Amino acid sequence: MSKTFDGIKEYQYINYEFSKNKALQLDNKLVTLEHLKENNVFFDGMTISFHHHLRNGDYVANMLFEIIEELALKDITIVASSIFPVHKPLVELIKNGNVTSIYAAYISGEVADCISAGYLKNPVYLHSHGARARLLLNKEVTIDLAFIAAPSVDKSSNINGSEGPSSCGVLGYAYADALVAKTVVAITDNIINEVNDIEISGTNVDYVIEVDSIGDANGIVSGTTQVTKDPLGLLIARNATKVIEHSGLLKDGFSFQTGAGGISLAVAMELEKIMIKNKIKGSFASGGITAYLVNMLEKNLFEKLYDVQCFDLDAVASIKRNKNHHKMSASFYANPYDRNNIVKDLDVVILGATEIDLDYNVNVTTTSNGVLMGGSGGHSDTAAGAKLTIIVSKLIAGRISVIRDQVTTITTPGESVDVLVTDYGIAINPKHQELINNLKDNTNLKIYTIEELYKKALALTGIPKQIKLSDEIVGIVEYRDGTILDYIYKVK
Amino acid sequence: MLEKNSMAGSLESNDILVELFHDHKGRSIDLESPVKEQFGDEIISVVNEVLDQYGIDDVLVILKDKGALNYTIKARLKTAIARGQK
Amino acid sequence: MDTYIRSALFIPANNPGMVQSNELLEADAIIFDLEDAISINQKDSARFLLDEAFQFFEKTDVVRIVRINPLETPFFYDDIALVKKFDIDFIMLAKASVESVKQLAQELVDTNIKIIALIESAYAVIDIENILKASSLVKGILFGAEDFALDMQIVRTKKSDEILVARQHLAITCKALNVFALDTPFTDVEDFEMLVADTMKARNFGFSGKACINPRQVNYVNEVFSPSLEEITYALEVIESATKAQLEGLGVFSLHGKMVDAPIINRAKLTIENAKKAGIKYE
Repeated sequence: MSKTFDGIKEYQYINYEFSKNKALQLDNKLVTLEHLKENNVFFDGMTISFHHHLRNGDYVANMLFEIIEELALKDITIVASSIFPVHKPLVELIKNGNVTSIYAAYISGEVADCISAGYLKNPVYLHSHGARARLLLNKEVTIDLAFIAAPSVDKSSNINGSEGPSSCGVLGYAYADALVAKTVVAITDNIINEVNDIEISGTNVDYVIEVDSIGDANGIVSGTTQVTKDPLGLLIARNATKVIEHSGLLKDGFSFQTGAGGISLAVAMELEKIMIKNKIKGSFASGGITAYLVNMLEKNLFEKLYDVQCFDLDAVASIKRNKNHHKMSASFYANPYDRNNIVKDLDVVILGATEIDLDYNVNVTTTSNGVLMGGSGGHSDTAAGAKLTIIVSKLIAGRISVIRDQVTTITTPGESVDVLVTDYGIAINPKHQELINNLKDNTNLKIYTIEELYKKALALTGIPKQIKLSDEIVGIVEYRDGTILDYIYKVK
Repeated sequence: MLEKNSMAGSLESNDILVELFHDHKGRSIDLESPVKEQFGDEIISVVNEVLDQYGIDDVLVILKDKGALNYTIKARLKTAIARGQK
Repeated sequence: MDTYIRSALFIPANNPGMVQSNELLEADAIIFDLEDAISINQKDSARFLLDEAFQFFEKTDVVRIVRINPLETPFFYDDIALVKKFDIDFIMLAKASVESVKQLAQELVDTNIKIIALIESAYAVIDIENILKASSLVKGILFGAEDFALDMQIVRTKKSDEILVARQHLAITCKALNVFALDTPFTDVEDFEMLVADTMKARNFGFSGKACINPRQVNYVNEVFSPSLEEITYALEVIESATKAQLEGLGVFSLHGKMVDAPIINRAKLTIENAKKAGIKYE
């Protein structure tokens, strides 16, 4: 049983060495799904992993679910990098006991509701993106079968994500799976002579299956939102940018990451204006990449982009043609045990929150009613790594204050969170006295303690009644290092 | 006293739709709200306060809330009452 | 004239979302609109909402203006009754005329509420001097070019050549009679480039601020009307000299060969205040 979280530590880097040496030739590996079914590749109690890079346009994960149903497999553990509404068929498998355990960094849609209602036999295991790499590479979880959607496969069974009719850009969340899984199956709709970039080497691949289509191109890039048009959202973005300006971090070599939410993207836009005005050349921007960051790369505001997942078509196109737009694995991105992990070199990250409490703990996993609706993704990773972690959010939405006494679920511990920027004002973690003084002396920004902002919120909304959660645990939220941060409880 | 049925407010964000039905014995309040668990009791208490203020004891109040703050609830209810009195 | 309004944002008084976040939108003044933004059958609803809102929300630094319905409507007196209950800075009188200004002023006799006259017809433009003189409560005007164009039976354009003379006439008259002049709002809410050009034109004619019909316009308008570094430098000098003069017991003094008296000192203080508001840093 994992230990309880007791603070962010320094982690010892691990020298990962993996060598599978399978023959490269595609011919012997090219089989049908029927062949796999007939050859005991699938069995009860196995652990199967897949990536989410095809997002809501994914056909491949559902092919897997069909197989599980058809073969009436039992006690399957699913290790998915994320689960989306498109994965709805998983609900029946959960209810019928075919799937009894799930690991994921993010779960939304009907699968999330189903888990909150208590149908999954074992508590769901929620981890960060970086922690998924740790789980696999540190062999804490054994993957029997990696079921990898592969936009392009070549004659040497090498896999590339940025070519093909169902191209998704980078396959960052599939690299670890290919390295450690006992059996690796690639499902593709595009077999070519030679991929122009080897993301996953054919030395890792056991089987390749060719299908008509692995995904719906329209749904593949469904992860991004547009920059917000809400004037209060734009105000928050402007003020967050002012905080960055006065942090001392905005100079040549600056590194930056932002989420895909409407306000987070607006910050990128505001930052672009300032960087152009002050002629600042950043070192890198990272994370899930959108058109806005591609734009900044092309304007030479950053030397490189480090991309772990493409959120839109612009990012997909850019990763293919721009040598400064780099693909990276989840481990390289955010695994605290990987000496190259990018998040430790981040200056600033912009993140969202469903809730934040008086200790600056942040919840992006559940709603205020305790219902599962997300998960860390890269939240706790980037918050830990970045020198300045800024949460952007409206103070009140639908009469609910984003600030609480205590978050319903801790996704990211407060010691890694520095600033909260809302439409009503800004709260700064008291350990940053210098930043507080700097902003108070040199700007008109309204700086409050988080308690003061909380009081403002309550004065408007009234004091909410506490939601009573049940005692039954349906999920475990772990920190990057595997210690337990919190639990998710069954919703009545 | 209310002479006729009336309505005020809207289903927009931050608003509340208030419908009053005058041909009803006693006070009944029906609340639909995304924050019913957190603020349901408070919303009903605000509604009762206003009904007390106007001395209205026979009415069916149907509320469709979209996260309205107390001042909006009071305003919409008072508007509906005024419209029901004309 | 003490109030310095760079931006005045219209918000529909019947919209709770906008009413409750009004002071966050960075406008110097908010115009709670009971007139054109509210349909006839919702006038009562808007009044109740403002009534509850003004009871619930504390007054902040933001200037509070309520635009009431014209004298010729059934709503005029009810609107005034509402506003009088609260600490409102200005009533904006739609379709202002000498007659309606006088009526309004009478109603406001025992209050601190001032009047902004909304000039939106051909007659109002030529009669501006009389309108301003109709009551000492009139401290400023807003030019309503859309209704003015309707009245003139002319077409409104972005380039705004057709309102050039009206704008200048109003700006000059207001300056001469020491009231502030707010320019007509720019109606294309997606065209920020033209918004800035139009606002600069207004500033160059002598308007001291401009109305906004969308929160996203506010920042652009604020920036155009914010004091320049030269103005700030001069204001600082005035204040420094004024402090010295006061210590020496002098009421008026000379700076750069010009006489400086109380209004100029107040204006300098306002300039510095606005420099602060605009976030301009200076020594």
